[in-house]
Amino acid sequence: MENGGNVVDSKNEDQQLNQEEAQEGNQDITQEEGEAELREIMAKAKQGDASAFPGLRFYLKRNEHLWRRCGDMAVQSQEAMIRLITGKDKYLQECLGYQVNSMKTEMTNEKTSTLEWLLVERVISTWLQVNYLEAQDAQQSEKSLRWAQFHLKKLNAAHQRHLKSIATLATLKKLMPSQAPEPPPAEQTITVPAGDPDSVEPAEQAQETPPTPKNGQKVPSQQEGLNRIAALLDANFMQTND
Amino acid sequence: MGWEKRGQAGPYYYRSVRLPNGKVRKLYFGNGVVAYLEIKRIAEAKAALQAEKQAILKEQRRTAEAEQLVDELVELSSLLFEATMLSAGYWRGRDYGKWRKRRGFKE
Repeated sequence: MENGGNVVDSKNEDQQLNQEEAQEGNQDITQEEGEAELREIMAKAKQGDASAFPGLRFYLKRNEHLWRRCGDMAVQSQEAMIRLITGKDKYLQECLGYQVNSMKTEMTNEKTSTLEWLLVERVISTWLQVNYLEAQDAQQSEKSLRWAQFHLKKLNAAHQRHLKSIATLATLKKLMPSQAPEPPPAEQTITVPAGDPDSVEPAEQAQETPPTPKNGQKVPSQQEGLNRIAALLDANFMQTND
Repeated sequence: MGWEKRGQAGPYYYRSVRLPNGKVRKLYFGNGVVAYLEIKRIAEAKAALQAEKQAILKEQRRTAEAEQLVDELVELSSLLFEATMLSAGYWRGRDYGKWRKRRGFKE
């Protein structure tokens, strides 16, 4: 049995190695081939082929170059759009670059997934495109009908693309929300009226009249029933007397 | 369209225009100042049309690189988004409606 088990194990290992080698070989394939391969697996998954899902996950995990290429394209497209908008104005270029970075910071956090990050980049790229076309529209002096039609068509297409990008990002955030980091605990600030001994009274009353236990309720111990505000007030009162 | 001779007389300037009912009619401008003014007007209109076309082509060339990058980004990110959604067990119909969780999907 042991020998048989070893044989099976070694076979599995060989298969894994072959798969890994095949995947490493995938890095040499062109972008188009990679996309075509992905579309092929996706087509199977769309038809409900259960065996396609692990393969799809594996493919997405192993083919980092697809994600990397998308990220590179995002940065390049943003740079190109900023150059288009600003022209030779370096100051405006800096300002717009700063705004783009601040938008990225606003829309992402430490736990943003790679896909979400890519979609944020896409939203920013399309936003820049819409802004460029709108600014151009505003700056252009009166042009012909043909020019206006050409420009309006481009603006509509860019606007649609931008809205679709936002919708995609919203869908992802809704269906696969990234775990946002917990906000830092807010400082518990208790405002105490200074030097007013009368304000102690309600707290003292609360200590004197503990809540009456009802059926099956646990009677709070002395520590549990401690009124923290009253204790704070006591401490404050003692300090003022000293 | 152009200068045409009529027998021994001429040449006279004519221009063909298509009427709304589809018929073609020749307009007579004679061979005087009116003819030369019409020739000048047509030349200016042609130049303006050519300039418009050039401006549109120039604009297309100027923005081609950036727009192509944005297009590619949109296409590739859509592909990756779809692939990720499918791998997470979501599907949507051919009408590109809402994404829904596949029934009985196991991670």
